[in-house]
Amino acid sequence: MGNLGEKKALLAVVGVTVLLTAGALYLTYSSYEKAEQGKQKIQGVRNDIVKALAKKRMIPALEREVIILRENVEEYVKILPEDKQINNFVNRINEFQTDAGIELTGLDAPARRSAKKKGKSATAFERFVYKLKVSGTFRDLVRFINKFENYERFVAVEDFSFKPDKRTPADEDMRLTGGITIETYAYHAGAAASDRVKIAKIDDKREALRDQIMAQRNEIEILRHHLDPVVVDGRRDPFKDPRRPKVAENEEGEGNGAERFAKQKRFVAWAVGELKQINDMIVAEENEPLIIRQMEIKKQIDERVGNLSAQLSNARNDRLVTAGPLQRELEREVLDPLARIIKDRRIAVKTGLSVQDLEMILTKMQHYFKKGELGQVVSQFDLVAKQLGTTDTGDPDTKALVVKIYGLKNKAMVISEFSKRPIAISGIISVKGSPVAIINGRVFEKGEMLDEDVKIHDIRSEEVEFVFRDVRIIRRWE
Amino acid sequence: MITVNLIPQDFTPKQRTPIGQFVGILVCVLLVAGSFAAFLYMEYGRLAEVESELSKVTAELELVKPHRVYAEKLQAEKKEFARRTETIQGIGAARVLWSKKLDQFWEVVENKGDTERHLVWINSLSARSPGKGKKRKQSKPGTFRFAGYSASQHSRKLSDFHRDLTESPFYSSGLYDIDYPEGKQQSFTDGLEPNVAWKFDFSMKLRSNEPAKKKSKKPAKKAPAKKKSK
Repeated sequence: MGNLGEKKALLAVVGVTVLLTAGALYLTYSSYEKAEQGKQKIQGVRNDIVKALAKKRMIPALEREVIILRENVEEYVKILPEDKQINNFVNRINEFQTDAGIELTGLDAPARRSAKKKGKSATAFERFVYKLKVSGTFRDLVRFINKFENYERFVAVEDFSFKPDKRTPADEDMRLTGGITIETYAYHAGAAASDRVKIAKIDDKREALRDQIMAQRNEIEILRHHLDPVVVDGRRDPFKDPRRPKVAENEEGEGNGAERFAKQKRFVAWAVGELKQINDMIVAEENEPLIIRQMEIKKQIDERVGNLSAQLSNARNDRLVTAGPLQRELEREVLDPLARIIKDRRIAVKTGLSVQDLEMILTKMQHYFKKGELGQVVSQFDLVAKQLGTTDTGDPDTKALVVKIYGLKNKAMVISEFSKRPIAISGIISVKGSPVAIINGRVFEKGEMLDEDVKIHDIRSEEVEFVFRDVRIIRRWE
Repeated sequence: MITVNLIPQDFTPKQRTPIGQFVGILVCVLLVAGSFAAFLYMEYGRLAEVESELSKVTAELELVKPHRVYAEKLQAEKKEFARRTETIQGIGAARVLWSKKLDQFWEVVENKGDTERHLVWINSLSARSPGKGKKRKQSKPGTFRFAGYSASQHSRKLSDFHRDLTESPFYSSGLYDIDYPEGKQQSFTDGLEPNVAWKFDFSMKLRSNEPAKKKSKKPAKKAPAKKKSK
């Protein structure tokens, strides 16, 4: 029996040992588990610390970017009206309508839509669409559209459609009717302001980033278009039938309209090309290192400029270029730039005639004068009258020729006017050795005044010499 | 049977614990002591150390947390303002300057007054800007359409007008797919010359200026595995 008790005791001891050991081991394992979890947590926190430090290092760059973006967005949205300013937009439409000269026959209220459907941006931008019904000429409608596109606030033309109004009178530009759809956006700044992060010393930082702000701002450009009013006004209406009634053929030598236009176009093209060559020579002169060569080029430039000016002057006198668009092109592309060149380089341009030209003109006039064709004498003078006015008369030969030409022209005019006066010589008789003339039924002696303008200078056997406005005119008795 | 031991205790032989028992009990004690020792080491040694380290790094994290929050707010604001900038850029870039287009178109029709090459007049004109991009689909192109007459009995002049149009800045800046030059001859009895003209109707498309959207970085979906037939 003692053995039984010992065994029981032994079993009890073993049992207790097992229990205690198991319990201790369980607790140990549990603590181990906790420790491992703790280690994992530590690793996780360390990773978070690393990430947080990485983000901390990004803060200066992020602050810079945010400041730049804020500044530029604030600038960009100046072109977008705020919600409360949308009402003023209708007033603006009316202003444009009046300025452009079109009629607004309908204005549909805007449909409101967000620029984007998702995100905070959806509430920041709101799109407004207006549908206009309009009536006006094509010219005025283009101006009307241009006003929207050049407006300080952003406005885009979505679509348009025009058709002619057949009730337009035939002698007016075609009136069009149709519709235009325009859109604009409103920017709601309130949503943005509340989300802003407070950046320390923002004013100083903003100032330091001024250059970068401006550099990035220039990346966004709202394009505009300038309509040249001279060009637009000068164009024909594209909606108006340009055909004309059949016209009789011109006199021989004048050629038809197409040939005339082609000739004018060739002249303008030549003048443009000539000016371009002059500009190239000016550049070559500026880049030329040798002074002697520079002076040579300068002389050539002056000659070319003088020649071009003379040709343009002749063309003006001859009325060579009559087509409106070509005239404008000539003025824009040649005359204005040439005038600037002459002014900047102080070129003394002689636009008048040379000695040879004057001699030729004088010879012609004298030829017609001898033939008695006084009208032709005056016509020859009229052809060169303007050029005579710009001729440099510093040279004595030139001056003498110009004086002769003027004198001959005046003489022809005086004689022509005298010939229209009713002067009839009835007879010439000698009285006491002095000849007297019977003119218009009255007897006159030498030196007497026929009337207030005409003096009888001399009376000869078969002719009477009058003086009319300092010109001696002989009239024969027949 | 009851056993009574009458031998005085002093003379009773002492019974020693058997070696086996002793060893066994010793082992048990060692086991218990050892396991408790292990527990104590684990609980108050390693675990405590870990907890101490954890609280230390947690405190470190708390120090840098405000910076992280600040940086995340800056990133969120940057993203929002970048999106607004992109919206404004898109709005501006998508705009078609129709007055410029009409100005250029008019210049071609008028042809500087040269009626020899072609003499055209219009009797209807319509245009529409390209549509805005929807999701990731391509924007619907815009259109420009006009109809009119080319005054001449020769179709060559209509062809000349068509060529001038396609070679002009009006067409080369964004327009494409213009109809081929074709028309129908029509006679007039209104006494105007020429009394014959070619009636035409041209339409063309207009490309969108809207900036291209950035492509998605999501990976392409994998094709579903084919079921094998048994």
